Amino acid sequence: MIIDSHGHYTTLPPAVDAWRSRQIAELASPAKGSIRVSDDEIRETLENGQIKRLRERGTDKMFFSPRASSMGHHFGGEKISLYWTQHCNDLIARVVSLFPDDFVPVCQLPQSPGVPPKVSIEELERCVNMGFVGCVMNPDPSGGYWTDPPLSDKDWWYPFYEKLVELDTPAMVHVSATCNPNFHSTASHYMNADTTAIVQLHQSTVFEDFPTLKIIVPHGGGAVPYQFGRYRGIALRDGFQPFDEFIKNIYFDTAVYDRNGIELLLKVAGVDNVLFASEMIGAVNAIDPQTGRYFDDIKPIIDEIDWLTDEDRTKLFEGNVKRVYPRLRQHLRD
Amino acid sequence: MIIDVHGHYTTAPKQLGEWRRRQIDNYPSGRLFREPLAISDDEIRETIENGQLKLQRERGTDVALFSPTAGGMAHHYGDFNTSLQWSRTVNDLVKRVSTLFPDNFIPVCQLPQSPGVAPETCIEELDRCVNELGFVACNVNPDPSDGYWTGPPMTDKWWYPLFERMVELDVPGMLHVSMSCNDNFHGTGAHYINGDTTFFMQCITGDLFKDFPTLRFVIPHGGGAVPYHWGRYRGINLDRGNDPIEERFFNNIFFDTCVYHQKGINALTEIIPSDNIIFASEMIGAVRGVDPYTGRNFDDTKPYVDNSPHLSDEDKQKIFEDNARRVYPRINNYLK
Repeated sequence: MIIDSHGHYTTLPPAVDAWRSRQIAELASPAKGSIRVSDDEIRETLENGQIKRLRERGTDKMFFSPRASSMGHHFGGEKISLYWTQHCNDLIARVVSLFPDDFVPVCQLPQSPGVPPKVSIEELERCVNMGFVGCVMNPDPSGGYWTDPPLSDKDWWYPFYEKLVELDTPAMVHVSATCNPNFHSTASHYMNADTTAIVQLHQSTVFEDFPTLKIIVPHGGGAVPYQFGRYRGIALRDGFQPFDEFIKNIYFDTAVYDRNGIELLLKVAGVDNVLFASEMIGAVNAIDPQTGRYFDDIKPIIDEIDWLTDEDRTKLFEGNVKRVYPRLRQHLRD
Repeated sequence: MIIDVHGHYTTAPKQLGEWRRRQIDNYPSGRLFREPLAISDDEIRETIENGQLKLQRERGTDVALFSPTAGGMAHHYGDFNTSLQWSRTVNDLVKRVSTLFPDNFIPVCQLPQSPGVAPETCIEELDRCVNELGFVACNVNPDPSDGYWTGPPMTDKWWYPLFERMVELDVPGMLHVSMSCNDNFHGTGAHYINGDTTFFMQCITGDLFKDFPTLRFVIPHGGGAVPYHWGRYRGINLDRGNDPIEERFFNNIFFDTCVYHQKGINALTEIIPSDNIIFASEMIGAVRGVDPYTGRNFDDTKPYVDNSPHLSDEDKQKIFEDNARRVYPRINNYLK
């Protein structure tokens, strides 16, 4: 079985964005309201989008969360974020009920700058009760100004981590669109956040304090595998925990869009800590002129790497993801 | 000849840091800080002979481009005048190093950047360093706020007067952030790498090198995340309808080899053409220890380059010497 552990509902029906635009135009008066989208509209966006690609590429299932760039936690306050998040997560639940064989639900959190992450617990529990298997956790709800405390901050993050552990629900670290003109959302803000999150966790006691907490850093872990020696060296120099040992707590995904990068990731992070993922219909839509395939068509790259064994591939495509996301079981047939 | 294009005076005598601390502490008083910096030539000799020069000899490198400590630029402290006084002081010190060891160190300057202050205000110090003191390049900080990224991106016209002068003087810039005062970012672990990645992506969305076809930037630390995610950058660049990355940037952007493990250098040298890679170590910098795997210092980067399976002798000649001479033409005044 081939399970893609990283996908977002990027092909949203227009009514969803229209609702969000109205909400953003009226930030001062948050109201839940409703988003009218028919089952047929949802079917159409997926059958011509992600499902078509899943079939073409021979992928069996895809983890599916709300569009990451649209989380937009920096818009308005707590209520704006909560209502938007509830709508987005409800939509994901509908996708999964329409296509239970194809998608596995992962939720967005109602984060907001200056609001402690523990406020997101209620929505996390609601989603897990609906069958969601994980959540997307934003290390920078300010959208590129990094004004909230780091992931290592005990007062700020630990109540939320306690709930993640209690529910046995992993978190994927993932920022949203940036409102800072210095950054490009998918090409620098995402990469910087992945790198930053790993460095924050390295210089913390999070995994000592929560030995069963599972954190996935997508996009191949930002710069970290490429700069691996730098982190090993900084750890030695500054007296942080040994990086080689720490990094075993981090799971990486393969949303890295060429073979050189994927090979480096696998060599540095090790097959046991990497989950297959494409984030397809995401950041990069072009076809790679060097291969004739979509940049985000990752499976052929893994198939072609000749130093991987069949056992390695099984781990990458299904074994690791089943281990990391225990709640995935309810979505698999025996 | 082996030219290391990335070194900082991280071993400066302690009076320098103490002077800077008093300068910063003085700022709120509003009084002019007039204290001279007292460091003797012998003290400079000692720090260099026991530090960077010793390692040059041990490692078999010939000459290093040498600038003030990057983490110490700390442009967010005080105001423009604070930054100017500090920059002049440390640039003068780097010049003294170069004068004492003319065969081994070639000076690169810090700019007196300050958050919210237009970069054109740095031109006077750049001119002084290049025209009067013989500096060959400058370090350019894309985030003088030191971790909050509150200024315009480097593709904004805000920056253009500085770039015009860099082009006129034919001096390249090394893109380099300083310390981070944001708790989210570890300085050398996250902020440096993010700064490198961020600038490259600004170049993709902007048109800097169309406007300045001869402007050159070295992105240090192997380009942050960029070569590793080369497919992402190539793809997003194509999605935006641009000419291929190679055509857009390879006359203007160069990556250094401050990547502290063999697999990283292998990836860099496989992905990026040898014309666009420049040897550097940033030694006695962010990562000072010995790698227990290799028994060598992490920042001893020459063996990684020597051992890369993707480089011919001709490639190595470019990386160790020729590219540096081409990108930094003023170094030829210093080299035999």
